[in-house]
Amino acid sequence: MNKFKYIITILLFLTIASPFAFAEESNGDENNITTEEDNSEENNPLQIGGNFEIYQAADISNGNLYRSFIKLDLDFKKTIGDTEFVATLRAQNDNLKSKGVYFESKDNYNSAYALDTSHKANAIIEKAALNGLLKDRNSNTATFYIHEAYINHDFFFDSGIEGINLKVGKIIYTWGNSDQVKPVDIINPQDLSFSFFKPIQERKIGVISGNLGISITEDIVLEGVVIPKFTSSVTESSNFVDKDVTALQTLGAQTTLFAGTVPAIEPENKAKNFTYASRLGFSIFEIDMHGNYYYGYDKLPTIVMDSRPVASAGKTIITPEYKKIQMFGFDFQKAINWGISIRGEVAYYERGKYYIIEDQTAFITSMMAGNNGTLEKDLLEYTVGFDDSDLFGINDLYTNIQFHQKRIINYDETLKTDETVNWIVAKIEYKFLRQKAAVETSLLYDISDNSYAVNPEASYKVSDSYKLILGGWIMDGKSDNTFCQYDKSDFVYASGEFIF
Amino acid sequence: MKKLLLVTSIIFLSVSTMVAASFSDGLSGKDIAQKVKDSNHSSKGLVSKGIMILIDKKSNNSIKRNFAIMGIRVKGLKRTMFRFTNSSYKGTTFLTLEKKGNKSNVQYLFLNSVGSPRQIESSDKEKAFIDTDFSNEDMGGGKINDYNYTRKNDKKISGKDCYVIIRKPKRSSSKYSKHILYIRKDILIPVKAKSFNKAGRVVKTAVIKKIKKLREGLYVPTSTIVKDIPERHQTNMKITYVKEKKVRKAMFNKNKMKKRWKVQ
Repeated sequence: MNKFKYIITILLFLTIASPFAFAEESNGDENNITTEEDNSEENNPLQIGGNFEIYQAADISNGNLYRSFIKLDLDFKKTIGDTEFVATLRAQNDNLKSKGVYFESKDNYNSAYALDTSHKANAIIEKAALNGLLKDRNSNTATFYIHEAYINHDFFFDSGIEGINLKVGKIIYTWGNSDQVKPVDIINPQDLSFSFFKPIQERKIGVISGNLGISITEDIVLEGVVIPKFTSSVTESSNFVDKDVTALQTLGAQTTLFAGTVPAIEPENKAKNFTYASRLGFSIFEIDMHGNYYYGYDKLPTIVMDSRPVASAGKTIITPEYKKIQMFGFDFQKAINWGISIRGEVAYYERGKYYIIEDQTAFITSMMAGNNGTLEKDLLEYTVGFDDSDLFGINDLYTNIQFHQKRIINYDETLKTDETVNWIVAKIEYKFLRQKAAVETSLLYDISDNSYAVNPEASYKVSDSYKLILGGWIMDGKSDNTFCQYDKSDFVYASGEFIF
Repeated sequence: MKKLLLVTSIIFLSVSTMVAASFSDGLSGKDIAQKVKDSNHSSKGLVSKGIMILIDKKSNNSIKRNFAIMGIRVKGLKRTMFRFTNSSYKGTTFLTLEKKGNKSNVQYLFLNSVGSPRQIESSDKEKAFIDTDFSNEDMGGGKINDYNYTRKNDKKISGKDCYVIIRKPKRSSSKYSKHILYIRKDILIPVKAKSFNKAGRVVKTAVIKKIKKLREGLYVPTSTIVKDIPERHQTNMKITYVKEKKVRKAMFNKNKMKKRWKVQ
């Protein structure tokens, strides 16, 4: 009987244990080959997706609401043959939007100037408004618009060149290889109503344009862009007006010298004012490079003076104008080793960069000579740096450090702007819980005056599609530079993003 | 000196011959690895799409994510594009371009938030691919010469004859001491793999549960389970659609990484 019990126990044990012990070798389902024909054609329906984002930012000290933002993007994509149709419709409500007016052309400004005999900015603006010479920017807090929409077609060739790509529509371009501070990435205007607190890719405004790409070989691509209509960057904001815009008003208020500031004067929409850009992409020793060229309007206005009233003993009128610039650029990227990639881009502005004369004698001399109170200077701007995907060998510890410099060539001591601006742009991010959670800190640091803006942030993915973010921006340093102009506006923010 | 060289050569040749001769087919571990690498590719093109299920056994949570893959072989070198098509990773695209010989493959990553392709450093082939249990190497970053190979006695897996090879990383910094691969002789697909840490424990396993025959000489795994044993985490990769069809080689270009694919 005992023997029988013993055998039963062993058999039971073997019965229970064997599937585990030999599972990998004996599971009949494993690596079965199926041969049935997959007859389901690649169903290629209209693909609809999008994302929904809500964002609230409040002053760190008094809790005042700085930005309340809600956005819904709907993406539509459809591919027919080698043609792709893409559209992103955006509905948003953003309290930062504020009213702004502008002159559609220099002719409009001149007409308003001629209508007024006092040659004062306020009177010119009044006449312009009365005679329909001013245009309102679309600055409603609630907006619904096409963020990006284009048709993209590829022609492929079996011999000779690899292919030709033609893209037409409202397009957002990304040129250059550095992060956030991108000297050659100047094709699109930007929404600067939330300044640099919004990442560059989100700041970009689509431009109606045509883009032709010729892939000569797989490593050599020539691209050309034509933008028929000028679109300026958005600088109006209810809370974060850039110092240069504020400086315009401050300058205009100096009644001993100036007769005020008029709204920005945009270039006319004529063929001669088209913007052209091109780039040649190539790779040598796996270093990806582009030579870039841009000839068109600066998206930010330049402060110039209308000195005409000076001739009749009047005062100068400050007229922000968009100037035509010519830029030659170069960018590169290369993954080297140990998780490190190096990237950089350089832009040389050969024309169109004007700087206001600060020295009063030189300024008055310029005015008396009928000039515009500025000097045109070449500008060199570059960003170089590296990123490391696993700093100190720690997985998911990402670091990105870049050096950025702007240098005015043949600098003149009479200018208001500093000869050089030197920044360190850095980001360190650690992802954990299998990349569900992340903590990161971004830093903008001005080496010249030790001012900085720092952005600590923590995020958590509640699900694969839903992310919560908490963060803040703290600025300190010299009050009139890019970061510290908002040093009384340190804020915290919370946002949620749902992708579908 | 000449004599010494001659004797050394004879000993070396004898040992090599003995090792090769111990298997009737005369194939070494490296030969088999090379055969696997050269098999089951299409110069016409392969497109597929499927679901990736990430299961965290510690928290009993699972995540489902859709993906699409396109692959082609041009002049004997693989080009692969992998894209997530939903979730927060939607649009995230990886392009891997195999390079000749010992040159490292070139990999690009496209993120919607960046807007342009970024060349990424992928020398750490053992690193996890995003948050999955697959490694960069599993996704097409591996090179035959990264390992030393030893062939072991053949074995049957699910009734099918398999080559068994052990590969040991040449890099001393590798987190693994060795990998054992079981490769089906008839179709040259590795159907099972075990990875051992430096202490000799199995820390990762991969099992192919289903394989699809597209034509003679072209087989594609359609259900793969990779388990990270210490993390109690696994990734199931299921291909729901796969077809051999003409794919433009020009699509495997960093400048095309944003473009939508028909297969998505």
